[in-house]
Amino acid sequence: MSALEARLKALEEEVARLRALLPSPPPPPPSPPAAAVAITAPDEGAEVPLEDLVGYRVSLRMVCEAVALLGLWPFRADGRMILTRAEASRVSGLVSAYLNHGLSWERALEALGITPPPVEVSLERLMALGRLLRAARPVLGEAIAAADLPPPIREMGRNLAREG
Amino acid sequence: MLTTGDAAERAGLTPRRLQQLAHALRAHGVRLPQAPYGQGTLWPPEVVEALRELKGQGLEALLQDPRLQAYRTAPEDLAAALAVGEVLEVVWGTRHVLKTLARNDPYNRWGSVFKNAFGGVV
Repeated sequence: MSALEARLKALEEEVARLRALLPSPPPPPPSPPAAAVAITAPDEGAEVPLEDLVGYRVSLRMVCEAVALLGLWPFRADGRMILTRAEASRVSGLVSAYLNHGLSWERALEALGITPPPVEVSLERLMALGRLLRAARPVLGEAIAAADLPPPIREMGRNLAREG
Repeated sequence: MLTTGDAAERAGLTPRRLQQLAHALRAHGVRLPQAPYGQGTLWPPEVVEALRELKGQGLEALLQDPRLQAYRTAPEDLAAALAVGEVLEVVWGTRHVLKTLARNDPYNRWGSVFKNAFGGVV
């Protein structure tokens, strides 16, 4: 062993001895709880109401627009407004693309390779929704007239029910 | 095509107001032609004419004006689908109000609305 090697070995031993003298590093701070896990809807049930997809950055309007752009029809025969879990995940995918593409539906659709339903289908849906709203008018009036509200508002409800 | 300054003069608005309008129009899907970078919006004469005529009215009136339709970028199918989404939100709200007014809805009023509209068929 040359003198140089002996010197190197001695130095390495010295470094190891000094390192052992150092105080042990503090343990890493505990990782914060995963926020994303805490706020997602509980993963149960096969059906998701529309309002469950609404969040801090996601309005009901965005959810409804995404539903329409995907050509989904969230009504069931008993009048409930729900999506299946698969549909709901498609809707949240489109909404997050919308958020990540500068609030532009056009670019979000382009990024996901989705084309909106044809105009005729959308017009048909608009007519159906209009029919639904027209049917709701007198019933809404009756409900307002019968509710625990101030008399002038109940009167408005009665008028609404009469005009229907 | 007019620059913002010339268009402002012709429409009787300040250039600053016209810049704000260009932003508002862009947010509503009306894309006016752009001059090379840094030189702002180019205003087609017929759009300036519409601005001058509809001055003092709401932005809605301007957006409905046929002279602006040529510069709308939203394709028709996208616009129609978005309109469906907006009505869907209104329907959701109506259903929500009905359920709230009827406290848990013992008469299933929304159900009857739905039956009236669709005869129970989806």
